[in-house]
Amino acid sequence: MAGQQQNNTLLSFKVGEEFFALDAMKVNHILEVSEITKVPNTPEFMKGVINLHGNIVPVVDLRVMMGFPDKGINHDTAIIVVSPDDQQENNLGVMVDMVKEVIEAEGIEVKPTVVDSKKSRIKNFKGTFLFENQFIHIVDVQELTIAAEI
Amino acid sequence: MIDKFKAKFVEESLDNVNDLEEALFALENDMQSKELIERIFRAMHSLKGGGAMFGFNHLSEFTHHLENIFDQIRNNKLEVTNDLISLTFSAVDEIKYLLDKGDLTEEEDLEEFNSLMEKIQAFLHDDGAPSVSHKTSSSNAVDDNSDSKIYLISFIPRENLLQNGTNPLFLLDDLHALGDGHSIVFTHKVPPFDALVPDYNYCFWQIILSTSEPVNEIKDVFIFVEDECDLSIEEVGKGSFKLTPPIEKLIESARQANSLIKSSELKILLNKVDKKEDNKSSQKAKSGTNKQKTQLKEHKISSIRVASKKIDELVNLVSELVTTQAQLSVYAEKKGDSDILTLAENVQKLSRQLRDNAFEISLIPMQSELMRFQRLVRDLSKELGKETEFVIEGGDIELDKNIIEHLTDPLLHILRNCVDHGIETPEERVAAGKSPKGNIYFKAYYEGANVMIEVTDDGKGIDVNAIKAKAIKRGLIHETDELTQKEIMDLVFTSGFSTRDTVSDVSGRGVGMDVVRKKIAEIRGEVTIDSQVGQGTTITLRLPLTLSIIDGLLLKVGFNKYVVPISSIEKIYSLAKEQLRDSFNRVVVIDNTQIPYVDLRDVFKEEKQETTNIQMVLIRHENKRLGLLVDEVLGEHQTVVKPMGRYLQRHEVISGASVLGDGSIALVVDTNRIFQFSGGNNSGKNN
Repeated sequence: MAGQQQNNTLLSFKVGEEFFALDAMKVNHILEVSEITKVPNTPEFMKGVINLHGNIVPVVDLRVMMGFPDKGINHDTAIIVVSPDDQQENNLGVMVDMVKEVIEAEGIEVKPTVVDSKKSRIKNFKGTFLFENQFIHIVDVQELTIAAEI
Repeated sequence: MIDKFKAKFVEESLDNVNDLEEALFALENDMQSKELIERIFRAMHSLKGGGAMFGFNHLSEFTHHLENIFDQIRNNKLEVTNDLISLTFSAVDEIKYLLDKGDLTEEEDLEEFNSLMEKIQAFLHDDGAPSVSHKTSSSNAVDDNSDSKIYLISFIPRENLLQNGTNPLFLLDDLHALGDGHSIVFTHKVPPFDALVPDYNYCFWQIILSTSEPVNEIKDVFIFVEDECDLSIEEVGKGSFKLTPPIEKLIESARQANSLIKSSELKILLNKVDKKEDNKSSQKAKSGTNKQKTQLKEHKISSIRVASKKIDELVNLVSELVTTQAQLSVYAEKKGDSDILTLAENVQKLSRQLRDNAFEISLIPMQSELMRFQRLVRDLSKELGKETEFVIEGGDIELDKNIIEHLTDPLLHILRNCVDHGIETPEERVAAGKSPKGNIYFKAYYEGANVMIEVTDDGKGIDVNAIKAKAIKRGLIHETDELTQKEIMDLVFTSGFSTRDTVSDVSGRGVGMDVVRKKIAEIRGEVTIDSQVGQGTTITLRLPLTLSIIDGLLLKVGFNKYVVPISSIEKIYSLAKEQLRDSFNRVVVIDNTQIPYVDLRDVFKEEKQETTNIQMVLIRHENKRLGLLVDEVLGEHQTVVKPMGRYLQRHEVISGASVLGDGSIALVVDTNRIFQFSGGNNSGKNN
C-alpha cells in the first residue's frame, strides 16, 4: 500500500535495527517499562496488562510481533500507548526498543514498503520514506491493532 | 440546534408511544374504559402536535386521523372493537417506524403507509360518522365567566368504588385544586369492625366549592367514576365561599343528623353574605386558584432526564475514585501518620456513599422493557391462534441498565419459546383438561445481591425422554449415560439442540437456548430450567445487581494475583497432598464425595512449588462443583472490575481485571468459563 495522502506528524521508533513510525496523532502516552502483569494463556507477543491511571491497558511486544529477536528490556525500551479511536477499551501499549523522534512528514516522498510477510504478524505498511539517511517504515495503526487481538 | 430538539422529541414521543401501547393493552381488556380512551387520545394528540412542529409531517398526518377515531369514540360516536385495537396496534408500529425514519421517501414505505391510512379512514367513514375536521381538544379551558360561583357537590360513591383503583380522596384533591372549598365527610355508614369489608367504600362526601371554572370542569373530575357513584352538582350561589358561623352550624347539624345538606338551605345562608366583600374575595379566590394549579404542576417534576452516557461517565469516575481511595488507604497505613489515616478513613466513607449513590442512579426499572414482552406475547399468540394471558409481577425491580440491555434479547427468546413451544392451542388445552387460555407468569424479585427472574408457563412442559432421545440422536450424550432429570433438562442449553423437528418461523431461527445461556453468562447470570410434562415450564434467571463491582476472593497463582467472585465460591479447603487423586479422573474426596478439581497452576502454566498443604477453592456453577488448586488464598477483596479491552476480550478464562490498592493488577477469573475450560464432568461440552 502506497500512502499517497500522508499523516503529517509521525513518531519514529526503533525495533531491532530497523526504524518505524506511526501517526503521532494516535499516540496517547510514551511510558517507561514498569510492572507488567502477565496474562496467562496468551500468545508470546502479548506481554500482559498495565495499570495506566486506573485503566487496564494491554501491552504487546512489537519486536515479537515482527519476528525480531527478543533483546529483553533495557533503559531504552519504551511502551507507546496508541489510541486508534479515542475509545479507552481500544487503547494498546506497544513495546519498542527505542523511541526516536517526531517527524514532520509533509512533502516527504513515500514509497511502497517491501515486506517479508512470513516473519511478521504485521503485513501491511503505509509506506517507507527516507529521512536523514534512514529508511523509515510507516506502521498502520489500524493494522497493528487488528494484529494485536488474541 | 434543531436536530437536538428533534432528538428530544423522538425520545419523548417514544415515551408517548409506550404509554399508548400500555393503554391499548388495557383497553383490550376493558373496552368501555373512558379513562383509557382519554389516555390514548392524549398520547396521539401530543404525537400529532410535536410531529407537525418538528417536521414529521407523515407522522402528524397519520396520528391526526387516528386521533379522530379516538375522538369519536370519546364522544360515543364510535365503538371500540377488536379490529380497531388491532388496527391501532399496527398503527403504533407505523408510528415507531415514522419516528425512526422521519418522513418517508421509499416507494415501499409509502405504499404501506397509504394502505394503513386508508384502513384508518375507512374506519372513520364506515360508521357513517361525519369526519371531524376541527379539533375538540383542550380549548374548553377558556374561562367564560371570570366570576366565581359556589356549588354544592354531593358525591355518594357506591361500595365498590375502591375496587377499580379509584381513590376518592384524590378526587377531592382535584376539586380543591379548582378553587376554595370545604368538604364534609359522612362516615355513619361505616359498619362495625367485624362487618367491615376492607375494600369497600362506606364514606360519602359533600363539598361546597367556589370556583370560577365552568361546571364542566367539576364534572370532569368525576368523569371516571360516574358509573360508580351518585353525583349531584348544584349551583348555590355566586362569589367566593366563606365558612361563616351559620354555615358551620348547618354543616354540624347535618353531620349529626347524618343527612345531607340541602342545597336550598345553603342557598339562603350564602345569599346573606355581604355583597361588598364578595367582589374582593372573588379576586382573591381566583388568584388562589391559579396558584394552586401551578403548585400542582411544579409538584410533578420529581425526576429528570439524563443522557445515559453521562451516567456511564459518572460511574466510571466513581470507580476510579474508589480505586484511588484504596491506594490512599494503603499509603496512609504505611505512613502511620494519624492525621492522614483519619483523612483516608473519611475519604473512604464518602467515596463508599458516593459509589452507592452513583450505582443506584444507573439502575433502571425493568418496566421499560416489559412493554415489548407484552407485545410479543400478544402478537405471537394471535399469530399462532393461541390464547395467552401474560401476567407480570415485580416490574418495578431495578437493574443496572447495562444488564437490562443484555437481558432483553434472551428474555424475548424465552417468551417466544413459551408461546411457541409451551402453550398449547385452545383445543389441545381443553382436551388436556385445562382452561383454553394459557398463562405466562413473569416474576422478578430480589434475592440477596441477586435479582431473580422467573418465566413460568402452564403449557405442555418438556418431555425428559424426548430430550434424552434427541440428545442421543445428536450425539450429545451416550445411550448408556445415566443422567438425572436436572442434567437432562440442562441439555436444552447445549448448542445445536432444538426439540422441535421443523424450524418454525417463530422460534428456532438458529438461536437456541444455548445462546440464551451464553448471553446471560456474559452478564454473570445463570439460567436454569424446570419442567413438568403437561403442567408447564419454569425458566429462572439469576442476575447480579450490578456489573461493575464484585466481592471477590484474592488468590495467588505463580507471580500473579487473581480474583474469583465470592458469589460462586462455596468453601475453601486446606488439603493434604494424599487427598488428591490424579489418575483417569482428577478428583478430590471430601466428606465422602468425589469432587473434580483443576490445578490453576496447570491452567495458567505456572511452575508448581511442592508444598505439603494445598489450598483449594471450591466453586459452584449451577449444580456443578469444581475445586481450584491455588498457591495461596490472600483474602477478601471488594473490587471494581475493569474490562480487558478489545484485545483480550476473547480470553478463555480471564474476564476482566481489577486494580488493587497498591496499584498492581489482579485478573478476574470467570468461573463459568473455568467450568467449560476444565471440561471434566461437564456432560454438555461440545464447544
